[in-house]
Amino acid sequence: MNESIILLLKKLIDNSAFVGALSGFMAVVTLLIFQRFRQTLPIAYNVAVVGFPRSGKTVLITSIFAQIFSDKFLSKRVILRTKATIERVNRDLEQLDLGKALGPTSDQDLFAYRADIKRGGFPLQRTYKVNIGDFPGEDTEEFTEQEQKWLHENAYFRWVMEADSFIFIIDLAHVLADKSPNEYRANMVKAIRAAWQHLVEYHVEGKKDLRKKPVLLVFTKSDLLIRIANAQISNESNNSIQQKIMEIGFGEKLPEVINCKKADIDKLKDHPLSGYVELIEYLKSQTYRFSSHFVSHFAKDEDGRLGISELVKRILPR
Amino acid sequence: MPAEKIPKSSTWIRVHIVYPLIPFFLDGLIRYISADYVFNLTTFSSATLAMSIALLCVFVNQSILTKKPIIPNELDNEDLLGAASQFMTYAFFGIAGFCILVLLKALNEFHGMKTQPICESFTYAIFVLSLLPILNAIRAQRSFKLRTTT
Repeated sequence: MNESIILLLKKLIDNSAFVGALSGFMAVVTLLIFQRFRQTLPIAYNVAVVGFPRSGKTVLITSIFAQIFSDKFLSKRVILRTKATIERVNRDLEQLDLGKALGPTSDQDLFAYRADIKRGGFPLQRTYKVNIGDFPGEDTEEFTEQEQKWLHENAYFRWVMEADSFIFIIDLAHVLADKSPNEYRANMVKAIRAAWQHLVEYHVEGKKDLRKKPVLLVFTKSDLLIRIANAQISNESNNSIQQKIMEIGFGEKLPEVINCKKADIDKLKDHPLSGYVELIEYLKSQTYRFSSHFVSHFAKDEDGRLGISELVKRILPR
Repeated sequence: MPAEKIPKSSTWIRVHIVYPLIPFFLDGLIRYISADYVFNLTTFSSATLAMSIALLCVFVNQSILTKKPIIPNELDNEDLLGAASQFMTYAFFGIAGFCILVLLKALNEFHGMKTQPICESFTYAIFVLSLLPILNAIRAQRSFKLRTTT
């Protein structure tokens, strides 16, 4: 019996057609298994959103998803993953549609929004699992501390260190408010520069080239620029304008959505940008993929929510 | 106080992929030199490769199992467990391949059984299929951002 099996095997092995077919079959099986693994193990791509408390990080992330849903091309290629992400994005969008503020993210809300994105076509199609980190802004203050050891111990900042794309948030309400704008600017410039330097220091010996990573300086609540310009056209007093900034920028009540043109924002952004020229030049010198954006969930331009479309193009994997 | 070592992906690849394959390459190099620099199918040992791959898979499996996501979610935990079990399956096949090859060679050497043709077909199979765990280990590293310190 054993000999007959060995004889049969020998005959088969001597048959070159059989060996060829077997090799081809094995190659196909290998490719199929590998393809299956490619789908179950997408490439990780983390987007870190870093900003001070109540600067609009959660609203920005919600706006990014709103933009993705409304984009004909992206909506077909992006799949929200995890029950928590689907529920949170839809709940927050509903809250914003109802004009209710999302409230500050609490310590318990350390959360990564997860979506899978397909790029390229068959056979070179790649799937990325994009995680957008949201966290209690209170931690950001500690991010600028100089104690190196502390940075490695903190859970969220370890996550930031290993991110593939970085969004630094500047709250335009603070920039435009009369209440100590210089102090805010100095603090933000220091915080963002220190954060970046910690990142560079962390990766200095590694293979990760931070110069190729997208770094975005994002001015949130940019609808305030349009609202102030409109108020100035209507000859409203400075006190009235400041009151408007305080109500919209720091209050609990959400403003109505206004329409604007990209050209309007381009004209108005010079003033707030002027305070951050040095920081922008510094970040430009550090990375090839730096850009600054003026965004708002409560203003719409030709492409949808103000500045979000361009921001989405920049932060997602290519 | 000495500075803390930063975990790196390149170190992970070296420790979990390159090091387990060293016996295979060393084996091949010695055979290549011994055979007066003649390169053929017997230069590299498929049995050594099968065991190297099994070791690689066990290392990757352990690395995946000890990975703790900084911001955990249910999907990542499932993916980690799925990938870990996949690599354990590869390791099982690697060890099985090694045992079969050694047995076939032993039968040939000590009992004079003509197992060489079967050994050859196993050799082809192991050389081709070994690519799978190596490529998937790299993919798992990119998917879970696996890193290690030296």
